[in-house]
Amino acid sequence: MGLSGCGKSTLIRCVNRIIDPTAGRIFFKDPDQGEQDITALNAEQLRILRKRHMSMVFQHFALFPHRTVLSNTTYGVEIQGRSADERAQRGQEVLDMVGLSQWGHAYPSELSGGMQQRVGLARALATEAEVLLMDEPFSALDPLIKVDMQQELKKIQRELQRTVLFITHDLDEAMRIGDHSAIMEEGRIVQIGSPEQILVNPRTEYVAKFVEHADPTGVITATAHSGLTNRRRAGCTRPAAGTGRGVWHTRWAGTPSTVEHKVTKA
Amino acid sequence: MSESLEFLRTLINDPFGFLDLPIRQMLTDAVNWIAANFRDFSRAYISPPVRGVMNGVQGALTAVPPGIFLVGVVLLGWWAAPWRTVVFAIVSFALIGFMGVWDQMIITLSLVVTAVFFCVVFGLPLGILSSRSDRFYAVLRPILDIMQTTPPFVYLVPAVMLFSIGNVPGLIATIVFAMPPVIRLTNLGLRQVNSDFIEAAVAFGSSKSQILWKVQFPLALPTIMAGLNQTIMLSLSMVVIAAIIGAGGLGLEVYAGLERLNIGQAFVGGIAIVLLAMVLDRVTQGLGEKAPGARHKVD
Repeated sequence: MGLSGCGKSTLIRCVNRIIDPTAGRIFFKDPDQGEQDITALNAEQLRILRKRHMSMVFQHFALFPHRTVLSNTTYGVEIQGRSADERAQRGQEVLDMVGLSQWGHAYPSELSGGMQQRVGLARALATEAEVLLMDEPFSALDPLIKVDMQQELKKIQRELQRTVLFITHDLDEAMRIGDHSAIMEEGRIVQIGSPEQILVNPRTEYVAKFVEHADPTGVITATAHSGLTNRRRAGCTRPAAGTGRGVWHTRWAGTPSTVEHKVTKA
Repeated sequence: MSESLEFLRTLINDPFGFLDLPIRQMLTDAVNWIAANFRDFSRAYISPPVRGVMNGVQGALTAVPPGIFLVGVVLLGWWAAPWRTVVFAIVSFALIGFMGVWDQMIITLSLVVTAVFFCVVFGLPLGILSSRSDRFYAVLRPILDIMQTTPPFVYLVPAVMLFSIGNVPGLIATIVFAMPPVIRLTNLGLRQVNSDFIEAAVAFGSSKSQILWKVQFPLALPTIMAGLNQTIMLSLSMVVIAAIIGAGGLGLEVYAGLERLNIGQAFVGGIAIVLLAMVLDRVTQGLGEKAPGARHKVD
């Protein structure tokens, strides 16, 4: 995650080399061929990588307007060169998965934004790629639909267990879906860790500012003995004076009855 | 002193008198040279395919009885165009028949179909190449400008010198004159396809030709059809002018009518041309709106 212009979308496009990185290397563990360096692949190998092992979901959906929902969904499978029967079957499977079973013959323009992104997700799931690249997939959706989609994604993920690289500028979204988050600033990753670590222990001022207004519900799990001193020891202090005006209203999970704590920084 | 004043006066009044560019002679020589050196080549290799396609189309269209032709128009219109267009087409064709120029109309139609066939066969690949290479298009563009803006009468003469008289040189001049819109609008249509769609196609591992045929081309089709529509209109106007060098059909009707001061004959030919043009225009526009990529506009 990171603010707009910090290079998130560029980074994710480096992973499937839609943008060629100028420096560094990217490793991918191909189930057939073992570990390979994506930055060293030639054009043909790259196409195979994109066809079989990585798929992508886009911020503005990028559904093909001249194709039906079903035929959009099966685009990747079509490129893989599978038979028409196989394509239809696979397409229907993933449409069922995202809850659009009945919409196969509609065109994208007939669907709402949320439904369109379900198709985008279905298209990415259809190829059975191990890695799913999601570039701010829910940013263009309105808030309620967005939360629905996040839950939907978590549900699907529980079933399928893919590797998802998810880009967002929305901290709450990152906290809700991520197991492992990286914060970017001006083209660099400034902190990487679990959402809890980042929230509790921001490493720079930028990160601290970024997470200041985060909703830690469901992120921070306090154990029974977590007294103030322990939290202090865990590093729950704001790094710099002046930035620490924030008041955290935290519902601590894990206690029998939900208690409201107020942690105010001196 | 007065000598230099005199010089200044000529410089102001007639600055072009100092140099006589022999461009007229040069062009005459160039065309003569081309005609002398390429006549055999063009008559041996360019004329036969054009004549072959033309004879095929003309044979097919004349073999169809007018009644069946009208039924065909209804069916085609039913599929491609709104009912108003179908009615308009039937009324127009009937009127052409009643005016007694049906056979001429069929000849003109087959010339147009032949010309458009060659325009698409050459224009589409050139348009695709143009959309992929800026350099290629930079070279092609002035050539297209020349093809489109040179008054048609001007290149009827070289056409005659290279291909003799009749339908074939008329067709060749028509093909040259009518091809630019297909090239230009194919190029434009392909370039206008939103880069998001191309990125998505790339991200799923599409090859270049898959991107072209599965994504770019269908999305560009409405624009390409607009180019085709223009090409058909230009062909029709040129096929009529080509009557001067011996092409047949409605153009000949007009030309003959003018030569003999037979105003009625000339006007009948003219009205038939207008009706044919309007029908072709409406039908191809209908096809363009029906193209799958036209859904894009809804977005």
